[in-house]
Parts: sequence; structure tokens; C-alpha cells
Amino acid sequence: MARDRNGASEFSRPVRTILVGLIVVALLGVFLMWRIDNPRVERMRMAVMDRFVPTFDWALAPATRLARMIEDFESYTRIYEQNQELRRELQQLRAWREAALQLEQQNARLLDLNNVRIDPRLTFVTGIVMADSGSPFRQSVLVNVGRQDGIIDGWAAMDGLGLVGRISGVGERTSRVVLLTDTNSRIPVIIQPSGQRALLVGDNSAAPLAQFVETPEDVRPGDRVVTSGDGGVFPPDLLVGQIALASDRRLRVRLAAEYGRLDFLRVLRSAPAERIGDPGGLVGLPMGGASLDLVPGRADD
Amino acid sequence: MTDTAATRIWVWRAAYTGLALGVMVLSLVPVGPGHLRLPGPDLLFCLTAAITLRRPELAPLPLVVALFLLADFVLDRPPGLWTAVVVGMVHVLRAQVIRVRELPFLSEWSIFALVLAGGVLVERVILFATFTPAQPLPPVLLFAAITALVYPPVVLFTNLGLRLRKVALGEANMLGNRT
Repeated sequence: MARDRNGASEFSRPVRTILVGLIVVALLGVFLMWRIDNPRVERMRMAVMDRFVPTFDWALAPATRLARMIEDFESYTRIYEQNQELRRELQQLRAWREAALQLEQQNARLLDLNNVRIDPRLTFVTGIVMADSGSPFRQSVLVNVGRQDGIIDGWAAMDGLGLVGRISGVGERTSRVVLLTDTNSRIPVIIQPSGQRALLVGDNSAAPLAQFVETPEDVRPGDRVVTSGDGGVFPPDLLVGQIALASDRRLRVRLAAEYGRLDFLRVLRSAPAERIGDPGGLVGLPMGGASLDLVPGRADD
Repeated sequence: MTDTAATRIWVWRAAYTGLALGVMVLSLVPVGPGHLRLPGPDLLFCLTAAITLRRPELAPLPLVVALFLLADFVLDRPPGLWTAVVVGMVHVLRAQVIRVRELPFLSEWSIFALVLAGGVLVERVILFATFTPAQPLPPVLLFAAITALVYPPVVLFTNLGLRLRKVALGEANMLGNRT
């Protein structure tokens, strides 16, 4: 068993090099397959995640809890300022709540008067964030709802307030949400008071860029940014955030969703918008005798 | 005698696997998922390199391939690419084992850093050659630098925590069969 190390390596090194070469070629083959047939390999990846992450749930849960506790403990140091701040905010929010209640009642009355039918499509599935992407160059999270909950690729994910990201990759019990800050994220948006259309482009920083704004002069910091629904992937009018002007004079969007604390995510079920395909038909009296009979009938009433 | 030595090796390999899985799970912990973190370090590679330079037989190639391929899939990287690069780097490191045995730690560290830099470069060249959308250069350089900086603590851990030392000259023949 005990061989001379140097003698052994003299003999086995060429064999080993060939072996290593073969393995490297095989692995690069996997990489090329991913490059060529991306959806298939990504489905495979989701299947692996589906296996791997729930298996380690027992380890993830306490680790997550501990990390959050440490984070919370750090915030104790500035608890006084926080308290003052919260009081102020609460005061403002009370006023807003009052206004909102009144408006809601008024709105309900007006809707009732007008017999408006509200769009019933936007229902949602809520999922818990299970895991991070684990890689510094990817901004995504894994949530614990998947195909068996009816999740479909491309649906929007929000926290209570704002848009968080888009479903990309669905497993049986888990699915991946690509955050707006990821470099692969591109969302069509509208900047609110001026109605300018733009593209929200993630660049791995906390505030994504707003690109392709037609007349940037009309856009001011603080303007609301909502999804535009262009392309039919996202429902329109989901709150994204506010415009901010970066130090390099580029327009960025400060996100409304609280990215520091993504615990629960709402995945919006969105049906594709219905299209009106055929041109309008000829409007007039229907052909045939039956419709003509109706006319005296109505006159009898 | 041989039996216990063989089981011991397998215990070590199991420990390496366990540590690697632990590192993977820890990097998945959602601590403020939206927060931007420093890129890196690749603890898994540091650990693999440290073990390879000390007792290569404890990190056999099939195990390394399996672990890194799993990591590629789980950590949302292009599957296979980083694994292929790591296999190459581990191969280069293995060729240095005998030399590193006689060198001080500082030289070992610089060898590690050089090999890592080469690996990152190769990865980048392949990404460009296949027109894969790649990260901008600064974070990638930062990733390499942080991984290189983390190497000494990992070695300290393998030395003190796992009690893995470089093979001394006298026991070179035993090679992990007897400690």
C-alpha cells in the first residue's frame, strides 16, 4: 500500500493529466449546453434546487433566524432616534389614513353609482422567502411556492407595497424571483406625472437605472414610477418606486419595496391581456324572417 | 491496520463533503436578500485548495467535481464553467504539493493567489468567447482579491480546527495511511 510518493507520481501524472483533460472537456460541454439550450438546463437547475433547498430547510431556518437577530440587535443602538422617527411618521400616517378612509367611501359610492365592474384578475399567491441566490453577482430569491400552486414564469412578485421582481424558473415546490436589481432585469415602466415611458434596468446596485427616457427634462426626482404593462408580461400600474438623481446625473429609481426585509412575497396571478383581434362586424338588422317578426311583437307591449 | 486507515480516509472525505455542503447552505441564508454584499469569497475553493495542498488524497477529483457542480447549480452560476476552471486549478495545485511542502506559508499563499488569478482570467476569457453576458471587471477582481485574502484564515482553520498539517518529510511514505 505504502508506495514511494515520487515514484508513484512519476507514473501516474500523465494518466492523471489526461483524466483531468477529459473531465474539463465534459464540464465545458455542460456549460456549452447551458449556453445553447438554456431553458432546458435552467429547468434542470430548478429541479436541483427543488431537491436541495427543502432538504436543508432545517438548517436554513435557524441560521436565518440567528442572522436576523444579529441584524435586529444592531438596530438597538439607534433605538431612540428610531422611536422619534416612528412617532412622527405615525402622526402623518394617521392623517393620511383618515383621508384614505373618506376617499374609499367616496370611491365606493361613485363606483356604485356608475355601475363599474372591477377587474377581477389580480389575485395573488403569497410565498415565504426561503433562500438567497447565494452568489454575489445574482440578485434573486427563492420562494416556497411553485408549479403545484399554479405559479407561471413571468408573473410579478411584490411585497406589501411595491414591485420586487419577476418569477424566473419554476420548480415543483419552489420558484426563483429575479429581483429588480439583478443585471438581467428589464421592466417597462411609466414615470407618473409626466407619463414618460422608460425601461428599468438592474445593474447590481441598490437603485436600478431608468433608461431610454424620451425627455429627461420632464422627469424630476421624487416622481412616482409604476409598471406600464407594455409587452403584456406585467399588469400595469404596480408601484415600483421613486425617481432619484444619481451623482453621475443618471436617473435611478429608489425602490418602494423594502429590499432589506423580504420575508413574504405576493406573486400576482396575471392572465394575459385579452386582445381585440377581429375588426368590428356590420351593425344592422339581423337577416332572416325571425327578426322581422319581433318588430310587431315589440310594438304590442 | 489497513482497514482502519482506509476508514479514516473516508471519514476525512465525509468531513470535507459536510463542510462543503455547510458552506453552500450558509451562502443561501437570506440575510437581507436585497442587500448588496461584497463579491466573494469562494470559501469552497479556499477549503478545497487548502486540503489539496496538504493531503491531496482527502479531496479526490470526482468528489471535487460533484461538489462544485452542485454549487454551480445551487448558487445560480453558469453550470460547469467554474467547476471546469476549479478542476484545472486543483490540477495545477496538485503538481505543486511536493514543492509547497518545503516552502513557508507566504509562498504557498502567493502560489494560491497566482493560480486563482489565472483561473478567474480563464473563466473570463471563456465567458467572452461564448458571448455570455459577463459581470463588469471591478467586482470580479474584487472577488478574486477577497478570496485570496480569506485563504489564510481557512488554512488556519484546517490546521487548528481539523488538525490537517502538511506531510512532514519523515512521514512522506505514509501519506495519510497512518497518522
